[in-house]
Amino acid sequence: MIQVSNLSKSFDDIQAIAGIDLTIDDGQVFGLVGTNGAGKSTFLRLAAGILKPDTGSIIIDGRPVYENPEVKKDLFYISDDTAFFPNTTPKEMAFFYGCIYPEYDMKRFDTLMGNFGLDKNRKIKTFSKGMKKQLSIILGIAANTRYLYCDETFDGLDPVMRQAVKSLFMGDMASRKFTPIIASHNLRELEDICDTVGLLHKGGILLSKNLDDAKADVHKLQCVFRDDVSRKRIEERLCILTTEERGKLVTMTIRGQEDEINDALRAESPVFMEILPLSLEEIFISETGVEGYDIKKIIC
Amino acid sequence: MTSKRLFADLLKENSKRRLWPIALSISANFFAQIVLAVLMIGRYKERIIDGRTTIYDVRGAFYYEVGGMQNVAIFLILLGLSLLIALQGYSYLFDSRQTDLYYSLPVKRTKLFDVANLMGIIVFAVPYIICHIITVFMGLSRGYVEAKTLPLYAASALIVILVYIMFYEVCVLAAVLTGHVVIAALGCGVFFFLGPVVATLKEALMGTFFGSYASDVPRSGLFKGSPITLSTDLVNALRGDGQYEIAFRFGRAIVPCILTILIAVAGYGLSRFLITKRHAEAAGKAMAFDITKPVIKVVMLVVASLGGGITMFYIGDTRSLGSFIFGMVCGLIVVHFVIETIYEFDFKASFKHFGSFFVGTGIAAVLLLALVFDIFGYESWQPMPDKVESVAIDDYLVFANLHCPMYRTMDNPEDNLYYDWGTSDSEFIFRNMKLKDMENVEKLTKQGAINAKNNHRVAYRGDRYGQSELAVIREDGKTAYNTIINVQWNMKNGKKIRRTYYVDIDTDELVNAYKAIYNSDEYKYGKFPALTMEPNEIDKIGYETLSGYFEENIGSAKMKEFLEAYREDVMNQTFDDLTKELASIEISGLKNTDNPYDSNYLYNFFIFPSFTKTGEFLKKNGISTDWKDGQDKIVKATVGVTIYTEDGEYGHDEYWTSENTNEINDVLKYTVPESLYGATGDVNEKWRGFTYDREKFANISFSTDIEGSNETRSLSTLLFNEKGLPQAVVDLCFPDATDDEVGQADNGNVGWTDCVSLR
Repeated sequence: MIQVSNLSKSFDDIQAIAGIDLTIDDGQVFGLVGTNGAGKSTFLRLAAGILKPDTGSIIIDGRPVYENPEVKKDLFYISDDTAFFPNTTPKEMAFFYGCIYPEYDMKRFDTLMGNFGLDKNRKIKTFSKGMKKQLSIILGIAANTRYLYCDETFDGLDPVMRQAVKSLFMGDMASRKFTPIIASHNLRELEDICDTVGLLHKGGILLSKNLDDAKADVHKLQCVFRDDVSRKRIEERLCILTTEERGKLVTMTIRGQEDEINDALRAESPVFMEILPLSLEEIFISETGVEGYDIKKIIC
Repeated sequence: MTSKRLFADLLKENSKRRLWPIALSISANFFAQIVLAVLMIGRYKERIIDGRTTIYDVRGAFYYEVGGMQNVAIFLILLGLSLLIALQGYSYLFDSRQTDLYYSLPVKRTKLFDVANLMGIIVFAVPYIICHIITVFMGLSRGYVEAKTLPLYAASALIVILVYIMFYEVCVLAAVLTGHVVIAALGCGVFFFLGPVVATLKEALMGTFFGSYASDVPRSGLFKGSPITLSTDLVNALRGDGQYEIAFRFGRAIVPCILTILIAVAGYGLSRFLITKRHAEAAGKAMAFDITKPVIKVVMLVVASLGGGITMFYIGDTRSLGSFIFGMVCGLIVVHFVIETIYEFDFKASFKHFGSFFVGTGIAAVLLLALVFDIFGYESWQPMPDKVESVAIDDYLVFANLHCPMYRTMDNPEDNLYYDWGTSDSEFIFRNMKLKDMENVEKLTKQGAINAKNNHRVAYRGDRYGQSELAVIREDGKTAYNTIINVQWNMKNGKKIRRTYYVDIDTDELVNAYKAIYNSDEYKYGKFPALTMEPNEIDKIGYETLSGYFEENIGSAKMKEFLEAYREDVMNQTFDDLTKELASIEISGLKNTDNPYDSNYLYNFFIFPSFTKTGEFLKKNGISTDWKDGQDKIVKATVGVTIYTEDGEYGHDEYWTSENTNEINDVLKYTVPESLYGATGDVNEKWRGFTYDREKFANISFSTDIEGSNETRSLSTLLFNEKGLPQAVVDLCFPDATDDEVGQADNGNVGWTDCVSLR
């Protein structure tokens, strides 16, 4: 488990991370969302022990991560701007990591390289951006670490590869202790893979929420009321977060248990009623809207 | 995975990232040693066959030029490779992506540092050692290296590697302190050259503004405060002829060796410590630690402003304070803009951080005021007599041309083996003269300090106080001596303080003070190296008369006898005696060398007519006591002078020749060899004043053909314009002209004659 408390980091006059408190449980996919400059990369670099916090701490299983090789053996960091040694090949990189990570699985590396169709003896400098991203993920997966930090890793992958990587993560999560932490500025990219999402804005965490819990707590429905009195009673009875009208069709985001909402609406016998699937974006809009943020300006 | 195993694995992996430095190191060492050896071996072989050199000299040359550390190419690649290998090895510190890659690994930063550090040493050391071994074997196979000197070559190799490690660790420190490869390279330049630059600047400023400043350059050189200085000390410690002796002088090498190791260890330790404090985000920035920015800037501002000032001061030889201040302002502004732009990689940044600019400007201004107005009283300050253990004074009035072997001016006498050439060295005086007569010394130094203080404000304009006139006649007919006196106070706390004074010994009190000092045993033992030499230090003596040049092996027992007689005569000779007679012959003390055709000139002995004991000894052993011996055998004499043009350029030579014995004797009567006059001529009552009175003196080349020898001898002499000289000689050497009407010789001496060599 990764516990972050009161974490702050500044670069000269710029406050990159400001007093973050966060807990990342094991065995889930944690998504870190935010716009450019929100502090996602800085957070991951802090969590990887690359940067030293100005204040606060990052504790992994009760041990601080900074300058602690024993803790760092449990994590692998894939940077946004993928870095390899100059003039090297994937095989040489794998050998290098093999010297350092005790659980490094060279067979898995070879297999994955084959599956992804990458030549392990080709100079990395000849790879495309997407291929480099794939290689980073393969090297990280083969390291067999408990935590894999991916900074904008899906950016640059085609949809097929993106799906393949997601499958890879799922497979590893099922077979061993594995917690990917994925930073992205694209909320929709994380929607179908993350269990928990943390929203980062201007160096601070706006919220961190398990998606199932969020989805169980917030519902989107469309209905056509019989009359305005009926609609007013619903508005008074339920916790309506947002309302949108198109003629007589009203679309509402409502906080509360699904049964409770269903019961309340059925009691009013609406002309039409349908519960719609809620996107991650809508969940965040509803959640952060409560706290006074204009989420559309924060997320893409 | 054990820590040692991980270290070894990381080392192996690191080597894969060092391919081009390895290739560079191999090729540089190959060319600097093996290729050079091939070239030089061919040249040596050719010279031996031609008879231009001997195998002994070649063995020395092979050590100096190829196999030893004095191989200049090795020294250059030491500097170059240490810089390149250090910056390449730690290049991950300059790139944020690479820094993230390295620092995300489950390895301590110090371990990554150690791996890069060790590999950087291996990259140089292994190719160097292999090439060195091959080079030495090439020398061995041709007899240019003897088996018994192999330890010398091994020691040389160790020293080279030690120096490399020192240079390398200094460069690593520069890399750790900075976040950009170009700034790191500049940082290396600062570490290597700031000390010498500051030393040069100090010399220039102190020498310009303070008339009494005694330059430190002859003692320790300008290249100090730099790792390069230490390396040259180590090179000197390994000087050897490569033939008979292992020249590694522990006494001389131990201090620079320890200092080199200390600097290497300190550089490594400091870098290793700083790497734990260095933030990953420093990659890409100019400086890794913000605290170093203002410190470096202020130092650079002060150095650049004063450097700019002194440069402008001398440009065009204006020597005006206005030029100095203009140079200072230029230096300050340029350095401020350059440094701030470098720090932020943004020209606009140069309009920030004026605090450090003003601090640097303030310090530079205070230093300038201190120089101009002598606000700290440097010129007049002298140590309290009760804190002084003894004093040494090196004056130019008499015997400024005494020879002394260099090993007697060094801390460790055992270092003498390869330093035994002779020299006239003030260092001997400063090391050996222990005057206790503070009262008389103080009279002279006080007068010098008054002169220095009174002339301080004009000193920087070059209007120094009379340097050239050594002896003048006062209005009352008595003699006054103007001389430069270099003083060294040996303090009771071990410190040594030096000053240079222009002293007018123009009152009876000062003349008597000088006489008292000269006549003291402490002065003579400190002045004459020959008084304290050992008989076995020299193998033979040499001397030159009109008959020829002679060398005599008189043996140790007779040498001892000679030295005792000479000491007694010198100790009995007073300053007043010096004013009445010139030396009649100079005897040189020579040491045999390994080269049978050569010998080292270590000591010289001026023999005066009044030296009865020495004269007796010399006569008894058939050695001349007068340079004019053989005068009766001269059949022809030639006087040659060089005529300069009005512009001071060389014009032509003119000669007077005579076979008339009377004329020859008349000329000889007023002729003195330059070296004899140089010893005491400036205080000679009859013939003093050579340096300023060109109507009375002339430099001539005096050549003689000796009867029966079929030989012409040529001597550099002075001719005195006395009544009785043949008119043709007078016309040749003393034409009716004054100094103002003629040009200046390119050697700086005003005059229209100079010696020429006829052969």
